[in-house]
Amino acid sequence: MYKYVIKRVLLTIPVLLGVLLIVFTIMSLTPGEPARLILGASADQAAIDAFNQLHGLDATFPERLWNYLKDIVTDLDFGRSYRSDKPVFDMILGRFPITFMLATLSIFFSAVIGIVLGVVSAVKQYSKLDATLTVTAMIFASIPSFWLGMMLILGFSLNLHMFPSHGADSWQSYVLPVLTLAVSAAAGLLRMTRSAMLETIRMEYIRTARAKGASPRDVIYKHALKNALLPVVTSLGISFGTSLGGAVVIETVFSIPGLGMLIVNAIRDKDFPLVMASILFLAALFCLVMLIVDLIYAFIDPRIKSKYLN
Amino acid sequence: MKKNLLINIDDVSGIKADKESHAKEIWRRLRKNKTAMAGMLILGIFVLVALFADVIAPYETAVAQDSSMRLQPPSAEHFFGTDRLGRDVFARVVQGARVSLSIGLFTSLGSLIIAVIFGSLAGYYGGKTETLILRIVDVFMCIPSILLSLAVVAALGPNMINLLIAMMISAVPGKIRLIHSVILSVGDQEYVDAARVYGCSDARIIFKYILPNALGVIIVDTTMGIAGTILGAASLSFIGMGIQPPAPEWGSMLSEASEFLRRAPYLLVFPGVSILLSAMSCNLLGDGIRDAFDPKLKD
Repeated sequence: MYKYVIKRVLLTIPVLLGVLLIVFTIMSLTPGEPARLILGASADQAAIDAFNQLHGLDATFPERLWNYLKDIVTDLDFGRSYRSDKPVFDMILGRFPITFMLATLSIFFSAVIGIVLGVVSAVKQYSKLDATLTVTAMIFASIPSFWLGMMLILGFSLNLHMFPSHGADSWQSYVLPVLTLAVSAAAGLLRMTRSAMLETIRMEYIRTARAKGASPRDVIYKHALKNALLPVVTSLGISFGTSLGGAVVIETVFSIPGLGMLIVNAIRDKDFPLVMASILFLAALFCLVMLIVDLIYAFIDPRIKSKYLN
Repeated sequence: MKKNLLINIDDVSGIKADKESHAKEIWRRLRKNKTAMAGMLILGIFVLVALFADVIAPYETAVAQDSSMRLQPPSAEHFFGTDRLGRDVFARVVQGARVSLSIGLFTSLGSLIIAVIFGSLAGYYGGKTETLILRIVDVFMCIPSILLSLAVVAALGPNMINLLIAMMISAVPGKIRLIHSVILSVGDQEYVDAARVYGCSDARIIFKYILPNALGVIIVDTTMGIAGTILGAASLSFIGMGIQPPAPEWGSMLSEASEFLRRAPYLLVFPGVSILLSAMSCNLLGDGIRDAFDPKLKD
């Protein structure tokens, strides 16, 4: 078993390096010199040279990539902001907890809502409840989350004054953004759980369980659910990634000072080191979550366990 | 020489007839599916609006400003009201359909073409090519798609073409995986072996014998991909990283509307409902097509 765990953990390293390579390459595609963009067209050559030297832009592409990687590995140094000249790592760390909290809370609630309703919908297939749930899930899976967020602000903040419409100062201010993110993730999980459950219920071992006289309740909760939830665990991990991305957009709607706002403002400022490090940070976090998902999988799926028993 | 000895497997008339009735059968099943038909109807309306946008509400009316008519609620003159610059929201929503639908369509088709090339290379030839392509795809899939698009737009600058490139880059990896798995599962069928023995070229086998048999999966993925792209592109435009004003785009219209939530809530309704309905119609249709192609999967 530990063999699998070690193998899977080691496999994350090349993936992280690949993510770094991709993001670094994309961010170097910018037409024109960053120094000109930041300092303006009227800047003299001396100032531009100084800027390039400070941010290591006077090297070739492979050299810059290597230096970037080296600084990250040795000093956790992701470069300095073009605008504020602060280390971007510190700027990200300050904002990160808010975004992480948003994504984690929304995944938690969407998992509870999505999985429970997905099971209910599958067990009561063809009922009115099932039809209502499937249609609702379809609507919420197609709703643009930022629009839902604005509608919630209009309803619950401006009209009912129940929750604040912006900021992240108290737990109340997390209610609407978390709800916004959770609803669309829950819709996806509901659809996923429902189809996984329906597929499992048709398996032969379920028929066997029924035939040997297990109660309908036991068949659903003891025999079917366990197996149906396996693919759902993976989609939970993927939803976490989607929520991280979604949080970037939702933070703009609710003016939440998280990593998303930081990225959006950094893009407007053409502060490339900050944009690059923030995106890397979120992608790395997603990789780690998928790693954890795979490890959980190994523990709950006996098929993986038995593969590595010898 | 070969031709004389073997039957030409391309034009056995019986097979042609079978193909037609298979398509008819799928269409018959799809037609019975009420939600799928609703999706098709809504999507059809959006397509018509996008095609005849200039007849319904010319582009000029969508960008014409009128300072005396700012933030007017819906009326007989302006069906959906006017925005903060006095522009007709109805015209902007109509013109926005053209923008959103074409982004959705072009991204889906463009990424499908790229994915067919790389997915086929990986699935059909296997070996090192397969390993290399799949590992690269794995890495891309580790970056949440909206962040990947955001990185592209941040580097290249926000405009329509770059938005298309960004949406395609984030759509391609998943599609490569899909095509790869399709080629693997269909590729070892006996009729593919038969085509190979007969001496068909690789390209012919892939395009004539493998991909058509996976058409259902590909159509479903493309349809649902359009929904995802419409939502993604609107999100990017909403945060100012997509289509730039004054061009009419639903996401950026909502971004402008956010300043007038209390004064002009109607600004929120029409672009939002348009995004919702267009994305939902694609999802409904995609679900329906999946059921129609594979009745076993239904329920």
